[in-house]
Amino acid sequence: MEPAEPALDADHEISSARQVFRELDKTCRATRTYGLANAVTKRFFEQLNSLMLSHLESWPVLAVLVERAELLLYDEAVYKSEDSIGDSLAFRLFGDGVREVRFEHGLSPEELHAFVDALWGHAEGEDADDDVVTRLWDKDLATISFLTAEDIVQAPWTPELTPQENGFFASPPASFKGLVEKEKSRAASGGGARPANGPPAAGENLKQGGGLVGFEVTDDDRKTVADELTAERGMDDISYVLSMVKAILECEAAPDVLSRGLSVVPGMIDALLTDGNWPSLTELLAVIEGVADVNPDFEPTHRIMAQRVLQSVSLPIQVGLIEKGLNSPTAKPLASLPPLLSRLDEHAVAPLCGVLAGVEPDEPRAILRESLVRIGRSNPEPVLKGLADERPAYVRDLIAIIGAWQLPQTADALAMVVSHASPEVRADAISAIARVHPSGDGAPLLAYASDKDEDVRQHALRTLATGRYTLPFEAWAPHLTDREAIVDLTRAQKRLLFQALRATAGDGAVPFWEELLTGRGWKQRTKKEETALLAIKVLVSLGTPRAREALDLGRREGSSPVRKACAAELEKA
Amino acid sequence: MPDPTDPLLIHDRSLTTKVARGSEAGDIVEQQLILLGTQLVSQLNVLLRTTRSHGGSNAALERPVASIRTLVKALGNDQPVVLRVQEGFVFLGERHLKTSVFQIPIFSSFIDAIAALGIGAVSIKPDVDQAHLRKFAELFVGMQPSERLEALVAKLKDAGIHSVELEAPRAIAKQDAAEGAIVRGDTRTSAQGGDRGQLRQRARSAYSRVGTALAELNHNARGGGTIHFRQAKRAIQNIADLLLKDPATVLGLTTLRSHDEYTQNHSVNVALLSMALANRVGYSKVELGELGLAALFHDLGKCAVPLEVLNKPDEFTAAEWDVMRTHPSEGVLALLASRGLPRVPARMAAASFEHHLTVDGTGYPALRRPWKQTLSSRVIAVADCYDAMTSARVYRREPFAPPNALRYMIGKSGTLFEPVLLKYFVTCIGIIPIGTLVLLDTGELATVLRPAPDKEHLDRPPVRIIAGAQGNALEPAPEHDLRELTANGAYARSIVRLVDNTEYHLETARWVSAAALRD
Repeated sequence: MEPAEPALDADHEISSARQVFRELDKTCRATRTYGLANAVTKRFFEQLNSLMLSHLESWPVLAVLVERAELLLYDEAVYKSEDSIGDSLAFRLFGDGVREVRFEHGLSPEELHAFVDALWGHAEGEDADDDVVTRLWDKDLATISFLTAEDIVQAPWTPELTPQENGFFASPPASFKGLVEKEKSRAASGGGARPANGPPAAGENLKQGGGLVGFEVTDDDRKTVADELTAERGMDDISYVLSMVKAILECEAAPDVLSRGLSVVPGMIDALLTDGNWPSLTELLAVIEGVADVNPDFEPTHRIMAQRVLQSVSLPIQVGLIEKGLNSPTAKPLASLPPLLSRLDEHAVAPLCGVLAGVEPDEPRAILRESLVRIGRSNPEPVLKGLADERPAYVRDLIAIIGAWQLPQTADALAMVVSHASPEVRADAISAIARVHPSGDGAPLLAYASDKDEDVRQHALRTLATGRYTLPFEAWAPHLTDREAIVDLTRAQKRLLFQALRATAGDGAVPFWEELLTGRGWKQRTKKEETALLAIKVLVSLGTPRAREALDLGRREGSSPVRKACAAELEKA
Repeated sequence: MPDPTDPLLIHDRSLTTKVARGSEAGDIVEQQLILLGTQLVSQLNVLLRTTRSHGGSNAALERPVASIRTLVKALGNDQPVVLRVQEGFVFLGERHLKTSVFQIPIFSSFIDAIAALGIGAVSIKPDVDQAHLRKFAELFVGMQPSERLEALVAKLKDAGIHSVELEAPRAIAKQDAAEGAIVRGDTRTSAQGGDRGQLRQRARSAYSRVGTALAELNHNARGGGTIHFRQAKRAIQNIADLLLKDPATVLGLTTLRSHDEYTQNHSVNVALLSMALANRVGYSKVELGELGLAALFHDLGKCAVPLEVLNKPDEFTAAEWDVMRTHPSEGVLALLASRGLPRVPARMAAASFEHHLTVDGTGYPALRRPWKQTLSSRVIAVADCYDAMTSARVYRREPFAPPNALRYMIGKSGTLFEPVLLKYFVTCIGIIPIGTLVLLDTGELATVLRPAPDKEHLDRPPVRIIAGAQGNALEPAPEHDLRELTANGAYARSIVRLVDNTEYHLETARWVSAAALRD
């Protein structure tokens, strides 16, 4: 095959490079918009990889010069940003001082991915320690290299980096004659270079042929350091730094150092909370708690500082950070969260409610609930206020907490939950009311007796029907004004309603049932009779003189079936 | 409403005021220097543009002229401020000025104006007066398209302007000529390594930059400011690259020391020696970078030690030693206070905390429970001790000769130092360490340049012969490979004696550094 014309080949190369960088630009844009893990971005990566590999098959190196807004190959632009310069691939490199970038044959998809990650995988200003250059270097990419502006500019020799000849050392003499003579003489007399005392050292046995006797690195040595290096690679940075802080607080004697040591702890607590590093945080707090007993140089001021540090975990800002920690992608297992929460006091109730509101998974919610059960009992107000929240899961948690407290005074607050949109929440509130207020005034439950949700309503009525609650009929009256609606209820619904009425209002409700026994009308005749018959049964079970009076009235003034039924019941009685 | 394209002091006028007052506040560091450098570019641009539009006597020039003078005073610290344009990038001295999107129009205008006349750098002295700046601008904008740098230099000279100087663009480093050629038409796969000249050039530049970055960070740490590593990191990364290609050149750099900047040079040397040792031990490239950065900041805690103690020329009192002994802990606390827990690299904190701990549990801080140093800290401890012993410094004036320092350390193997690491260290710097002064069997005096290149000739390292058999100084001092044989198969030269250079107050770095650094 004839070799391609150089000019034509260069044209092909430039054209191919343009395609590659067009695709790279699209990939970068997708990365900026959707992130590296997104499916759309991944598709762009696949296309880019295919084009890049194809290019590098034909030309083993793709090396471009970086200009402000362009990438050049053979002085031809192979990339120009169509977007603003801030989104330009070229400027991203140029701005951080990259002058040339080179992709070489053998480039893997992973390396391409790492390259884009170094460019756009980090928000601007996210880490002041790094820029594109340091990130690219850290990726250690075998087939992608770069030159920086600083690499290429020939710096002059910096005169301040000179041998030290102005202190102990002097400038070299014009002649070394005296020195050479003296050393020759010493050598002739067999004197070694080392002082009379001291151990033998490398380089000392020159006359015996030298060598590394005693200093060879053996296979065992290599294995030892390799193992240690592996162990160091697996080191948990945070734990190690914590262990150093612990050691400093335990051993330092200087008051200033101890004060500085304690003054960095609040920042560490915040960081650990934010990261959800509960084990380390628990450990740190334990250290602070016990360090005064270990270090005899702790002064009263240090003890006060330590105490304040421990108290600071209950402050609203710190408690608020728990939410961040729980939602952190790097959050640690929750086993160490309860010991941390056990340090919170009643001041933490309000912010901890906020945390509970912002966390979704069940496991941490359960732990937070437990904590609020413990600390909230003496400061229930923030929890009660939270009942007005719209989020069902949150409010159900609060209801569970309130239920666990068993404080009767919270029943009224639970009654307010009747306006919550979620029937599950309302049902929970009824159960909680039954728990915190197991008998007595049924008013908190009555709010739910007309609930629009059948299940909730029945739950409330069943609770009222237990006989542990009392209510004047006047309290029921507003719920019973629509007689037609009551007649319309199913038989079971009516029975339950009447039982609740009987259990709470007793004789007070008899006029209501009397009216059902004596009421007339053609409309819904059958249902009315059914309702009246149910009323008769309730009156019978009520069994009071007033109930019997009502039955007697029914026997006299009711419809034919009512009269018969009342007569039968009175006869039985 | 400020002009968004004019960055002068918009972001932080208080900072400039502070700078103009000569403040040495610790927060005036990298970012601020870059900000001020950028502002200088901006104001020079405004000066030239306004002069072009309104002439050199217009009142509108007052503001840029005053700003330039303020900025030069603040940036220069009594030295000229150099703005360099090279390959489309702008440098403040040797520091690349990172360009943001908003600054691009200003930078472009400045670069184009400078490049049009073939100017590589503008140097402004701190004593520049208003009249000279105005005249400079007038002469600059009055240049004809056909005129070049030399013409403007002549005009400045004629006008008696010495406070503004111009330079031609610098030569491009060799690696650019080699590797850049690919961009300009040669797409062969690049050779890894490059020649020794290129490496030395990079080494020199990296050493200088890492030292500067360290000085700024130390200054900032002392002022309680935030510590960022970007500049130092880039320099350390360059050194790691060099180390993998030519460890000897990097080791040669460690013989460089400046008595006045002991802590700074010592820290840089510890970083280099640690990286060289770690390279032997098997650290990856990225790990070498991390270790180098950790080693560079191992003495960060000294920022908490009062300068009068740190720089005391006499022996320390017991109380002063107590203060000095807090610096490992102070280093950890400084990192935590400045950067916050999640951004403290454990290796770096450990380097600070553990570098005076010892294998046998002595050393300081005096811990209350057993503690095992990280491998990295033990590496750094070896490098730290070696460099400290071979350096002259304020609180111990007499340094050790390199072989004596090594001998001392080997004597402490298993107590102060990890035996295995010491073995590696010996193989790293050579059984006859770099910088050792030696007497040859020819009667010549030489200094060791690099470790011996092969195992069979460990006592035959490359040397530089600095004096003849009669003691006559050789200039230039020739390099010699002690493995070289004569015609009859004997070695041409052999070492017969290691000479204690400190006995003669003779610093060998002059010859070693020349090898490491000369282009």
